[in-house]
Amino acid sequence: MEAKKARGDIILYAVLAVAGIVFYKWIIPTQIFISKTASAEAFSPDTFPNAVTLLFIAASLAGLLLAVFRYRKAVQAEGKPQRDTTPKTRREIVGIFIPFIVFALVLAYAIMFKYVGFIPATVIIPPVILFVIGCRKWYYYPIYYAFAAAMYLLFRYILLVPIR
Amino acid sequence: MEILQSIFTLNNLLMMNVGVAVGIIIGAMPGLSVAFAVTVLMTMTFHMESLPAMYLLLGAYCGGLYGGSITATLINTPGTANAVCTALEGYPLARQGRAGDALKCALVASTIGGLVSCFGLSFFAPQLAKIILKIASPEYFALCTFGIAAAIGLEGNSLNNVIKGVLSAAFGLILSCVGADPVFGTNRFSFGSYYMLSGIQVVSSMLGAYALCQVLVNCRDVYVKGDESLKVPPVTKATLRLRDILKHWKLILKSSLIGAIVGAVPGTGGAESAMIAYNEAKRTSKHPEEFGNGSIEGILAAESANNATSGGAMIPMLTLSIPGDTVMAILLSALTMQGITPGANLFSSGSFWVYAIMGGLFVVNIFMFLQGSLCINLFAQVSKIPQSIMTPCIVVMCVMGSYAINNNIFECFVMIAFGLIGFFMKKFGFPVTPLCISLVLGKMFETNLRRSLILSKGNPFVFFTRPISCGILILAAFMLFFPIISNTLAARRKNKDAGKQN
Repeated sequence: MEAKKARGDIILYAVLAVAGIVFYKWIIPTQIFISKTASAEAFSPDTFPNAVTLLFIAASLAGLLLAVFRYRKAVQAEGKPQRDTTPKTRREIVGIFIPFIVFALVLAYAIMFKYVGFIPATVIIPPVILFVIGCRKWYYYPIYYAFAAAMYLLFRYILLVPIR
Repeated sequence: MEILQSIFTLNNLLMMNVGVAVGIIIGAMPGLSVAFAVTVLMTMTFHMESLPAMYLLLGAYCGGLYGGSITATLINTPGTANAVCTALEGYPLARQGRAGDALKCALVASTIGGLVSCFGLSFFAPQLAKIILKIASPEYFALCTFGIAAAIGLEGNSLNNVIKGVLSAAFGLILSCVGADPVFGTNRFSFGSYYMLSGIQVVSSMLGAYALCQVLVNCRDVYVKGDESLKVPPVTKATLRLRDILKHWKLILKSSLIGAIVGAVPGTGGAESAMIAYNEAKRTSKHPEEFGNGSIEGILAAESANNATSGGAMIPMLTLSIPGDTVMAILLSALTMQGITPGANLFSSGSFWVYAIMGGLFVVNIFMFLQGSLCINLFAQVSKIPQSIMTPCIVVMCVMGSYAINNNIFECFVMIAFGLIGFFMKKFGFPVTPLCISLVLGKMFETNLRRSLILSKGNPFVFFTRPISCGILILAAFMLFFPIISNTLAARRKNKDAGKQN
């Protein structure tokens, strides 16, 4: 178990270290345009992001080293990690993707809010989320609509937030 | 006597209650801040007399500070950074069927924190103001470092966890760089977007990283196992008695003092003080293993420190005319509009106003306790609602709340992005708190680091030659490494004992 965890950490820290290097080498230079006045200073606008990114890379590499050490120790103690062969039900397999489907629906909600408006988006998308997560009790849907209507009235007419 | 008579009029008491009620409701709404509550009510004070107007705003301020703990406890949604630590302990307690206890602890601690800071304001305001004037950029930098180190140390019981905490904090600091650079105004990481110029809003990022992330985590369980899997035990009413909570009086008092002192430093606020007090409580607790799994002590420390900032933040505002945060700036403008000029003279020439405000703050805290006590059991019922119906409701609240920050849909996209970031961070065991705290403190951290280095002509020892900043930095290092050292020592002791037994 520990070996599997450590192996996961090795991949994770390696990805983070690479991401940090890409950020340091390519993103910071292209996203911070320093004027001549600013570049004359010892502490220019890119100094802090550079320093923090270097800290990020150093921490990732330290984590990587530690994970390699942990992996070797765990392999010595319990052997190489085995593949999980316990059979999964169809619901469990689909369940792995549910957070991503819900995330996509929330994103669709925001896009619809932007282009179509708050009311149509709120009427359509959140009940779809309710359906996708497996809710088949009909009375949950009117409860949701009552809540959404109350929130809309509160924000729109009492707190004067211009939601359209 | 004259002051007491002027405080206890029907109109003033009514205004305090209205302010507290509105503050609690707005504070409990994800995305709406205390500043929003005070601003909404300020528009109503233009034609009011000075004292009731002031009490209305003070009520909203204190109520709003407490209100954040309600959603933090019930649905793991800290409306502001002040309630992050409360969410860490309150939500697990609510899942154990002890939402009522968590809310009661938050209420009692908030009230005592507010009252202690009132006393602080009454007796030590001029003296504290003199000390505050000595705080310069190196001390601010040290305070920010302390806040971030404390956030990393929260879950850093092993070297691997500390590294994950450092990565999370570094990510937060990088994100805090988005927008205009604080010294030269250079655009950073705007990726050509007009909206990115003003930086990433902390509230929308927190709504995503806590509330939406929780939705994404829970929806899988709801789908696979149904609502029963996330059902909380039926006991949700507050079972803890006041005297059980007051057994922790030393902790509450210490945290309140931390809150009042940190709150008095301009630019800092409830988030920093709650984090410091929470860490201190964890360090000194007899049951540190309960922290993160629903610790009463954690809630008491965080909430008392958070509400104690109310009186603390008033000290620089009333004595030096320096508003420490947005709410204080709004209160300062409200005072000025009412013809009251804060400053050193207020204490000598206008002592009526000083004591009327202090007295008012005291009574407001009492009303907050009474109103909160009446509603606790009602609030606690929220944790009984099935998770499947909560899911779309929280999504709507997150979208509305993030939109309400700037009346801009861009904030909704930021919130959604942070939801996914939070989900992956949780999946891979990264703590979210250092990310949020670094995002809150990032700008102040960078500005004061740069200012200190510019003023000292690039000498990095400037932070260690000043006693206050040096002391705070030593404490920060202690906060960061204390959990690892204590855990290593405990493991060695265990091994030794096991060896002896064998």
